[in-house]
Amino acid sequence: MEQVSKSTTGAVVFLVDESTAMEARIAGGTKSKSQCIATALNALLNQLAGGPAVDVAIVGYRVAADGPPDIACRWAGPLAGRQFVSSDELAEAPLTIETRLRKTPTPGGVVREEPIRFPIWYRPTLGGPAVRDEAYGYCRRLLSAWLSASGSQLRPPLVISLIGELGPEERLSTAAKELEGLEGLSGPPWIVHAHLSTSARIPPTLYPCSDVHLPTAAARELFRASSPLPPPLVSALEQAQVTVNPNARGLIYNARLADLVSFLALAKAYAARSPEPLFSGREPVSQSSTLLREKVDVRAEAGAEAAPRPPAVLLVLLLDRSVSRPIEGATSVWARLQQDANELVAQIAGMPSRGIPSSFPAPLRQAGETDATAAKQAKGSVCVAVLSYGASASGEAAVDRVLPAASSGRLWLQAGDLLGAALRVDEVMEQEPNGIGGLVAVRRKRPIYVDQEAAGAASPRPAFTAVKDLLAAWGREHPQPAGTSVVLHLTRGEFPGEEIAEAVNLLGELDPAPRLYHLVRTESPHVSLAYPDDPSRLASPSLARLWELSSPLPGGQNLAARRPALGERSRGFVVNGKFDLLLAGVERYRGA
Amino acid sequence: MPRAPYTQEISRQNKACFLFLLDQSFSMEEPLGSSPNRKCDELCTAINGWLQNMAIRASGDEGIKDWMDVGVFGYRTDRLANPIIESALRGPLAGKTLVSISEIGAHPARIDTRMQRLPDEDTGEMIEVPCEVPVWVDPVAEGGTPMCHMLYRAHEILSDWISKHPRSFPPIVVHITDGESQDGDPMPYADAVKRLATEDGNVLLFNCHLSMTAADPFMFPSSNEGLPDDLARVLFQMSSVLPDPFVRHAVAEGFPLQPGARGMAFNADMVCLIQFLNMGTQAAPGLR
Repeated sequence: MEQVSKSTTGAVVFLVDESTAMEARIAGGTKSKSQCIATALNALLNQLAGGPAVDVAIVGYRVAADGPPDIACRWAGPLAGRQFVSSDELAEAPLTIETRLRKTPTPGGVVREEPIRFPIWYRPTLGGPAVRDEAYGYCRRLLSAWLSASGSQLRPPLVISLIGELGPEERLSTAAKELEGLEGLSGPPWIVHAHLSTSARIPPTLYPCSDVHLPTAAARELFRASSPLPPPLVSALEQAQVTVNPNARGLIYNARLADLVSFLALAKAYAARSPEPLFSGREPVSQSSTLLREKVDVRAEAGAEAAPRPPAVLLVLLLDRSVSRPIEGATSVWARLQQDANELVAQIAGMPSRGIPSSFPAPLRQAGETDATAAKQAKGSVCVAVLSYGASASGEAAVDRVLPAASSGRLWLQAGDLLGAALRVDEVMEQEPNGIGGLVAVRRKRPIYVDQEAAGAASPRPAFTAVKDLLAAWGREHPQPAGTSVVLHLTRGEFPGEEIAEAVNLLGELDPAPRLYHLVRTESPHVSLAYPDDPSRLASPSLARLWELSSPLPGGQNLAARRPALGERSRGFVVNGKFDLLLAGVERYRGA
Repeated sequence: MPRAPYTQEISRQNKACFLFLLDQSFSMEEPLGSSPNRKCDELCTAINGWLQNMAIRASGDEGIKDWMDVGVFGYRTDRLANPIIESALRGPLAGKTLVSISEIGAHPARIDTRMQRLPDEDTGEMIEVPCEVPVWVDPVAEGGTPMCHMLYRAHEILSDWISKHPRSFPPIVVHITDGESQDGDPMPYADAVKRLATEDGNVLLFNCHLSMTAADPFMFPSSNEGLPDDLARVLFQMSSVLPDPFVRHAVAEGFPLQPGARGMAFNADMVCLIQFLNMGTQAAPGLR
């Protein structure tokens, strides 16, 4: 049975790629990736040896010369055969000690070289590429054994995976999932990845908060396989002068040597934590995406208060979740309205109407560009909130704060923060015109912000009350906003009697009153209408009433220049179509 | 024993016939869907692209195979509301009613440089690459919508062609419009066109409606019931039911077709328009 250290201050597993891909030279350095990792790792172990105790394992993986995969712990010399070694045993037991020259610049520009003692614990031998999934499986078994020997932990283990090259077909997130199921933890292990770059021309992606800018499917899988950084590790990076955004993941992609060194410092930060639960009072989370969704955005808020705020405009999306018959999930009006809401929020987040392409840089001019341009300009000065309402099966009416989530403590989000606030990002293949009469298939990302079930009909009054309160809070915080707030009511348009007029009147009590627009998806067939200037083509009195309650689109003359059918009397009202002028309407306000 | 309809092989001996009827009314100047491009521009891009594809497909090792006769007609009115029904082809083929695909291939009106969007394999980005595209038709948008006059002329053209190609796969008429007929009820004229037939079956009349609003498209509906307004219902009635090979192709492309699905698209945007045009051609047996 393996000896496992008795200390309970956490475990770090270094999972090191030992394939021949690691012979390639690292970007920004003169040595191979493997040599750089070895040096950096040995230097780190030396530092860990002098700090708080933590259990360390180094797992290398490759395919040996005679065929079978060689995945095992790489301690050698006095520590040979060990799996986890406590960091306080390291000082006494290096494999060997080398003398290396440390170059220090002195005042006057002369570089002084001084010989230093450089203990070595890890010396890699390279081989063929092993299956990474098996390496993760080995890690799982390793950690499992460690857990059963050391009892339940206050802090999840940290797995630091170092990768030379990602195969294009690699799907690491499934391998990483293996690790999530470990028992006896306060949460799944933190898994962070460093992928080393060969080319200095490709900029690295450091600690991204979304996989938007990652160029390949394998890289995006790596993103999904990497855990979001917990606050202590975030602070550690910032102390190392590395900028980290909220919801950043423990991933550096196409990293250079300098990035690798800061990255490995995470192990030190991990070891330095005192053994208290890092998520005090929180339930264990089993899904990184849940974490992403509910994490209190403390840092962003602090940042936002500090920086001077540009004048802003508030956009509120109010979703009516009611359907008349609870049927056909994907084709119900609620499903359509939900899709509309997700597309609109994505647009406000700065993406063109068809979603963004799979990689940076910015997408090309395409359908909906007028609004995308407006989105770019509006970004940063538009704040968004999404609320929904509907009656549950028991008839209880509810108003939900969908975005930002009620648990976040915030009432609205800046456009720039929207990308990070998505529940998830779906990837779809879509056909698009290729400019010469043909079609091209493009992979597009669709961030999802609203994902709720349909509901029964509820009075709109409580919902409009909530919107009114939200707008009042906005008014207090922004006594001089850049323009009038906008409320877009997405609904199937069936309101008996005068309840909708009464609800809307609540908004009229605000000063200044917001503009109210409607996007209606009808349950029975109805002609598509965009921004009509009279209600004559609306088939029901309820729809006509909604039209009357809708505000005119501002800047009617200018809009007419863009769209022949629009005029000064055009209302912000769309039936069975896209509300594609939402942002153009907001942009108008900024000058108004 | 009579052979099943719509199964005739398309060949030099038994050519196919495609006749495009393009709405050139004033409203075609409006944007298509929520794109900034005008309907007439997008329509011409799609038609020119289609013609180029057909010309390329028709050309093989032994030169161009004359598999197909093509006509492209536009319809509109002049200031006095007189209907103008004429061939939309430009350049050397200007004014011609029906031309063979080899003539199309050999005589574009001109070559334009357009930007083609392509995915870059290495980085996954979309890039724009200038490319040369031949042009046969140019956008026109003026006057009203004399749909009945157009259908009447189409009937003449097709009767004549059918008399010369009695055993061919029946002609396919692709009608693209953005609004209602302004010279009367088009139903009787559409019915007359659909009554024309070769030995292999009745003429197929497909109708595609282009929308200015960013509305949900309806592709190949099988009943009137879900259609949003009268114009959609009229176009539905005017459209032929899709024969089996077309249904199979559309299903293979991912369209959820019901029995009785018709060759009709409503509220089409550019993607739907291109898919609609492709469906018409790819499904015809032998025309691959």
